[in-house]
Formats: sequence, structure tokens, C-alpha cells
Amino acid sequence: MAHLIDSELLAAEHGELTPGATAQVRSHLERCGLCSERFERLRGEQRDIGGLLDVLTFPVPSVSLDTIRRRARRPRRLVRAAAAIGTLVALASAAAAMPRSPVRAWLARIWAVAPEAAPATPRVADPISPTAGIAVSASAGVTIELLHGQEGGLIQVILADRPDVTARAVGGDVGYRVGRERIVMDNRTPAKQYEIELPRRIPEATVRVGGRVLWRLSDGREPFGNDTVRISLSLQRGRVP
Amino acid sequence: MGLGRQFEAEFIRLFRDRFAGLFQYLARLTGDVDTASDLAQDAFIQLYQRGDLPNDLGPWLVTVAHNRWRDQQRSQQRRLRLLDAHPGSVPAPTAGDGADVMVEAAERRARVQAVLERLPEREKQLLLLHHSGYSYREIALILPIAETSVGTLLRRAGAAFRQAYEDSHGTPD
Repeated sequence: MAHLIDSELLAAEHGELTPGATAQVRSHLERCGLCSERFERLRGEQRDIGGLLDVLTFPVPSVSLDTIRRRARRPRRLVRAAAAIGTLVALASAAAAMPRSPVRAWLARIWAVAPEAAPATPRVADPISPTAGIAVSASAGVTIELLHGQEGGLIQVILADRPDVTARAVGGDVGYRVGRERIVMDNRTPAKQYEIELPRRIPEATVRVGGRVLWRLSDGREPFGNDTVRISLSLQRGRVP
Repeated sequence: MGLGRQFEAEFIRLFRDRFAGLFQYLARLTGDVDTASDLAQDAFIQLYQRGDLPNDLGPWLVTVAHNRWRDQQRSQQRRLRLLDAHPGSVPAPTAGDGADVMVEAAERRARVQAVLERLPEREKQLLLLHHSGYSYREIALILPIAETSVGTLLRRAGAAFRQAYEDSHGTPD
């Protein structure tokens, strides 16, 4: 009588066999003491493994469908904008490539005057004082990101009756960069305190530090006691009500 | 571009049915509940943007989350953070537990997570996928491996996990 192999026994235990194959395994186990013993040992091992892994059960976060929908729609707008810009660039390139095209001359003229006509807006604003900060308009949501993790310090988040989001570092030598619904603070030389003001009605806000989400405000809002939340950076993951 | 009503209704149902399971798997895999929540949300966002349902939804969602997780690891050069390295990331035990029970539960979680981290990534994924209720066929699609090999590999991964746990902490209770 050929004995069953471990993977067959395991598949039977996991309910992965067809009804016919399951019946065959069962019938074999009734007749074969050796396989039956191995099967029981295997089941015991599986119970042990399952018991250990059961320890890793986590409370499921409350995520609203609206949050998923809103975040899903954002990139589509960006893709459409990028496609439109790409089409324009392609058309301009094609026009410039045509023999005796005036487009080349126009582009050369624009290129020549552009730096004077439209000085680039600095994307990184060096703080002009120890408490300088930056503000962006963000009605749909905002992410405030401190690029580097730091051992100590405090982030104070305040809900305010104002239309824009502001972020500032108190002390330190922090650089700022803004993007679409995003403020990035380069805290290589860290500040002891950061202050973030959010419009009261903002639907979503996230604070990330060193690449990890430290705090999040979403539709299922965390209660703001007196409109202020203090997040200790020494806790790294702390959510202090 | 309007999404069909049928897809919308189906999406709502799937989100309610599957978000928690996907999150649990990812939390076990990454050892970080915030990362797991982000990855699970990203997978559903990608499904919503896709606008129709893939044939094998479960494996599709996990594959999207795996890819995101790999991207994150690459771009930010982050290492998997073990729960015992950051006690603050251990989720708060439910109210009513005694302090001893809470500490013990957190320690036990950290122990199991640390042992899992010692396994090769594929063995870890195999064990966790199976424990999270994915079938052999789904596991084979996700990893990807031959469906006929899943049982053998699972047996091997389980034995390695159990052995690593026993080496460090003795026989499981």
C-alpha cells in the first residue's frame, strides 16, 4: 500500500482536495495507521502555527468609502492635465520641425526672454526668521511632510477659521517646499516645534515624518478637544489627544 | 468618464467585504498598521480607478499592495520595522485588559513578528496568505508559483517558522 505524502495530507487538512480525492484520503487514513499518525501530527503542527499567527490580529482602521473615491479621482485629473501638456508639447515640436516653420523663431524668442519676463518662483523658501513659515491653499486635503525623523520635538496642529493651510517651524533651520496639496519641510536641521494650522473644514490632512504617517485627520475625524492636537515627536507614532 | 452604477455597487460591496481581510494580511506582512492601512487603501483606489473588476479580485488586490510595498521599500530605503523595535506601533489592546495581559500580548506579538521576519520573504507571504484565508489557487496566482507546489512549499514554510520560533522561544504554548 503506497503511503500518502505530506502535501496530500496537508491539502486534505486545508480542504483543498476535490470531494473524490478527500474521500480517497479519508479511506486510506482509516486503513493505514502510519499515515493516520502522520496526519494527526501534521494537524497538531498546523494548530500550533495557526495559534501563533492568530496573535497577529490588529484593529481594523475606519476608512470611509468617500475617502477612497476622493483619492481615486485626484490622480485622474493630474493624468488628464499631463496628457494635455504632452499633446501641446508634441504639437509645438511637430510644428517647429517643419521646414521654414516660424515656430522655431518664436520658441527661440520666448526662450531668450523667458528668464527675464518670468523669473522662476522659488520653490524652496528659506525661512527669513526663526518662525517663518509657508501657506498653501488646499481645500480638498493636504499632506504636511517632515522629510527626516527626529528624536524630540513637538508638532502642534490647530484648526483655525482660515482658508489656507500654514506650516512653520519654530527655531531650527527648516526649508520649505510646496506642491499640490502638499507642504514639505526639510528638517535636516530640526526645529523643536512645528505649528500647522488647518482650515476648520478641511476634509483630509496627513502629517508624515521621515516617510511614515504620524497623524491623520480624515472624514471619520479624530476629535479635536479644543481645536488643538499636540503630537510628540519623541513618541514617533504617538497620537496625543 | 462616468463609472457604471453596477461597478459602483459592486465596489461598495467588495470594499466592505474585503478591506478588513486585506488590511489584516498586510499588517502581518509589514508589521506596521499605518503602512498596512495605506497599502490596502491604495489597492482599493487602484481598483476604483480601473473601473471594472479583474477576474481574480483577491489576488489582484494583494498583488497591487505587494507592488506598492516593494516600491515604498525601494524608494524610501526603509526597512521592515519590527514591532518590538518600535513598541509604540503595537496597537493598543482593548480596554478592560489588565496591564499584565496587555504587556504579555504585545510581547507575544513582537516575538511572532520577529520570527516571521527571519523567514525568506516568499515563505513569509505564503504562510500569511494561507493564514489569512487565501486558497492554494489564489496563493499560486499571487506569488506566482505552480498551484501544485503550494502544499509542499506551505509545509516547508510552516516547518521553518515553527522551528525558528522553537529555537528562540521554546515550544509554542
